[in-house]
Amino acid sequence: MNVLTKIGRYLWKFFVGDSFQFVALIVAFGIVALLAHPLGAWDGLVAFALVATIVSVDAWRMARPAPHT
Amino acid sequence: MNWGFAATAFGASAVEFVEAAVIVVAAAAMASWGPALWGSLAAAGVLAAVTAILGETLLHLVPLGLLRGIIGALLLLFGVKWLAKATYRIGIAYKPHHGLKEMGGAKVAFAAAFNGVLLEGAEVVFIILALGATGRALGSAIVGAAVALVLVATATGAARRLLNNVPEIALKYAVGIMLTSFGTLWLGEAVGVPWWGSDASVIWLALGNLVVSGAIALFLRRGQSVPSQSTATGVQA
Repeated sequence: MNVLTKIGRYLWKFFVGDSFQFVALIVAFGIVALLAHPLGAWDGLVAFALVATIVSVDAWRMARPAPHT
Repeated sequence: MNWGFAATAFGASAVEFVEAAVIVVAAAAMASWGPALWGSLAAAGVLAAVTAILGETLLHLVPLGLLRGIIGALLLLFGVKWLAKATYRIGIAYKPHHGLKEMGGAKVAFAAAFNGVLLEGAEVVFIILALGATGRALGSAIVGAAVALVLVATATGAARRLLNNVPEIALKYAVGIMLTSFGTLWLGEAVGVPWWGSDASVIWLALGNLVVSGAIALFLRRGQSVPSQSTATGVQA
């Protein structure tokens, strides 16, 4: 069990790392999947916009001042 | 030799090999060529073994859509991290002290190359098997694909020399853009997005990511609210 936990933590850290991106991407592609039928090819634009937003927010998160400063 | 089937296999395979080559070059830029090439060879080995065991039944057994979705998600996770970090660093005009390896690492480079080559290689195998099955021209299809592989590998080798002259931060930025664009394309395809121009959509996705992340970097640079390295938080840069 301990070994499995360690392996799980390693895989999580390696593939996911920051849970913000992971959760944001799941939500984003959930929306994309729901809109695929009504929007057709325009859904690609939604996918791009959501991913670009995640990247932008992530870059902004890195640049924001630390709470104690 | 059926030249028609060979030419069809060449054209279709060349597109897949170019996509794989872009991922491998991006993976090499993360750390070095060693893990990127080992990742590619490992993927090629897995594909060769699976193809040798399953043969034409591979066409019915492997869910290509699911494989595309899983690999797209993994590339997107790597790509978003890289692109956000490179955008931030360009925004604050950060100068790395430890070279390329500080941002990625050999394991990520190996995994990215493995995933890219596995997916694109699987698509090439499908093309060859499908042409071989429908036209009974397996040998011609293999020859066409092999010629495409040699040409793309040669061009990639030439690109390797050019990459040595590209500044580190620009290389990281390009890697982030390419991984994010391919990840969006493949994961989007897996959840049902009918992309304009199919795989060619990766071009406008890359241009779009370039424009948006460039604007964010400019915003961070002009904002002057950007702290120095010692005061930046949260996410380790």
